[in-house]
Amino acid sequence: MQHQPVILAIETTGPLASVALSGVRGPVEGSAATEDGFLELVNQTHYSHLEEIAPMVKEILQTAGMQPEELDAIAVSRGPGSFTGIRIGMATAKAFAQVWNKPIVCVPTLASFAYMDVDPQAIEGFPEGVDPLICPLFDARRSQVYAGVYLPGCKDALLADGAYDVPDYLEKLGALLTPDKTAVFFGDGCDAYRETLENSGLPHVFAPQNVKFQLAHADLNLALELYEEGQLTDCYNAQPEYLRLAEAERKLKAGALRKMP
Amino acid sequence: MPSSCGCISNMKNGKHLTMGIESSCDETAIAVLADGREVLSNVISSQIEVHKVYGGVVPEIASRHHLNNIPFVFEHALEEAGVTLDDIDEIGVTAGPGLAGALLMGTAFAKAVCAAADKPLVGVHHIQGHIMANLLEHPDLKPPFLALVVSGGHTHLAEVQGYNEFRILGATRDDAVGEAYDKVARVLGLGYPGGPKIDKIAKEGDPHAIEFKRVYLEQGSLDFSFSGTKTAVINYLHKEEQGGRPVNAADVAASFQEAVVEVIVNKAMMALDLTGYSGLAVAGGVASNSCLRERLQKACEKRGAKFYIPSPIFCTDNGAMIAAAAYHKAREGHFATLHLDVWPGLNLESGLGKLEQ
Repeated sequence: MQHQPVILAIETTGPLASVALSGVRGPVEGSAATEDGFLELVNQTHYSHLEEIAPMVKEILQTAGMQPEELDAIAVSRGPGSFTGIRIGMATAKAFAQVWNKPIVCVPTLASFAYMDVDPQAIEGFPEGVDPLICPLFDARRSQVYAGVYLPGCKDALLADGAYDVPDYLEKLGALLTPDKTAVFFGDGCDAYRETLENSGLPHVFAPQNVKFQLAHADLNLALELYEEGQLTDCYNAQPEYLRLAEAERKLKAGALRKMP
Repeated sequence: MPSSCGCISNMKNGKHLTMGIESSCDETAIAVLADGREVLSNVISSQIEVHKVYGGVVPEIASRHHLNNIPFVFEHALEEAGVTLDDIDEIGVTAGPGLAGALLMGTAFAKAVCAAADKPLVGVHHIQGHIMANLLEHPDLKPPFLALVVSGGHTHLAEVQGYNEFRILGATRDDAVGEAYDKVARVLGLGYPGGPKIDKIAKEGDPHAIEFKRVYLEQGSLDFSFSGTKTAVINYLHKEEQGGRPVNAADVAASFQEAVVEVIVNKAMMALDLTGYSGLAVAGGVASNSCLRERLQKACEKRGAKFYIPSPIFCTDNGAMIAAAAYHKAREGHFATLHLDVWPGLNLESGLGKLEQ
C-alpha cells in the first residue's frame, strides 16, 4: 500500500476552528480516527480561534502519537472567509511551518466543500435520481457572499470563486442547475440569506449541521490532492485569499478617498 | 527553523535569551535580548509608507501586512542575533492594548512558535514594554519609579511599583498626545505621521505666536486632555482662512507644540511632587519629540531629579522593549498559556492578570 503523506490541516476561516491529520497509524483509542488514517479535532465554540488553535495542533499530534518530524506538510485554509479568521490560521500555519521547516499547502476554502465527508444524496430532502452541485456560501456582508459552485470531489469550479451579490449568484447558479441537478448549500451564508435561498425557486437542500461550516478534514482531503500535484509553498510565500480589498483600499482605488499629501 | 545563515549558536554563551514580538499597530518588530538588557537584534519592519496615503493607520491593511512580514522579521531577528530558536529561553508578545487585528498577528504567531518549539510564552502589555525600554540603556534604573508614556495611542503618568505592577496616576481623557499631533499635522497639510513633521517645522516658528488653550483639567488632576488644544488649532486656522489672512504653519506648529509640551512637563513635575520619586522615566513614540525631550530634561535637572529616556529607536514600537518586559515578567513567574487572547483595551493597572489566563 502506498504511504499516505502526513499532512496537518488548519482551518479557522469560518465559525469553527478545526485541525485534521492524515497518515495516522491505526485507530486511535478514544478518538475519531477513521480507517482512512484521518484524525480531526473540532472546537465547537464559535470564533475562539486565537485561543484554541495552537493548543489544538499540539493536541492532535499528541492524540495520534505522532512527532512533528513525521509531517510532510502543513495545510492551511487560505480563504475566503472571515478576514481575521483567515489570518489567525495563516499566521499559525506559517509559524509551525517555519519552526518545523515544513512546506505549506494553501487550500482554497470554497473548493474544500467539494471534499467534505458527506454523501449529498443521503441528505434529508435530496431528490432521488439527481446529482448534487456543491454550493458553499460565506456571508461577506454588504448583501454579498463569497461563493462558488463545485462538483463533489472536484476542485475545478463550475462557477469561479468570487464575492457575489446574492441575486447575481443565484442567477448564475440557476444556469448551472440542469433538471438532473440539485444545489447543496453550505456555509454561514445559509443562515445570513436563508430566506432568499429558500425563496429562490431553485432546487436545493441545506447541508446538515455537522458539515455546514468549514472543516479541516475537507481541507485535508483537498490538500492531499494538491500535495500530490506538487502545489507547495513555504512560510514566506503562503498567501491568504481574501477575495476583497480592504475597505480603505477599495475607496482609494474608487477615488472616494482623498489622497493625503 | 531558519538556519540559512549557517550560524553556530555562539551568542548564547550561557546567557539568558528573550525574544520579544510586537505588532500592536503598524510596526512588525522582533528582537532578541540577552540577560534582559543586551540587544542582540532589534528588527523593525515599519508600514509607515503603506499607510501614508490614507493619512493614518488602516487597521485591516496593517493586519494584512503583519501577516506577510512576520516570518521574515522572525528569521532576521534570529539571524542578526546569531542565535537559533533553540537558544531562546522565552518569548514575549504584545497581547494588548492596540489594534485587535494587528495584535492578533503577533500573538497567533508567537503562540504557534512557542507550541512548535516548546518555549515558555509571556504576554506583555504594550505600555509595560514602552516603560521597560528604559531598562535597556539605564542599568541603574529599577522599580519603583515614575513613568511618563507618550505615544500615538497612549498618554499615561504611572507609578512603576514593580516590573509587573503599575498604578496609573493620570491618563488622557480624549486624544492621545501623538493622535493630537497627527490631527494637527493633517490640518496643516504636513502629512503623516504628524509628530516628526510638527517637531521639525516648529523649530522655525515662534512658540508664542498664538497662545493656544492649555488644558489642565480640575486642580490637582494628573489626567490629560488634548482634544481642546487640537480644536483650538483647527478653529484658529478656520478663522484665519475666513479672514483671508495667510497662515504661518511654522508658528502654528510651534505654538501648538508649546501648549502641549507645557502641560505635559508641568503634569510630570506635579507627579514627581506628589509621589516623591527622585527620577522620571519617559517612554513611547512621542518621547522622540525633540522639544518634549529637552523641556522634560531641563525641568528634571532644575529640581535635581534623574531623567531617563530611551534612544529614539527604543521609543518607537519595537521588539526589544517587549523582550525587556518579558524577561522581568518571566523571572517573576508571570507566564501566559498557549490560550493567550488579545486585549485591545487592556488596562495597565488592573488588566495584567488577563495575560496569565
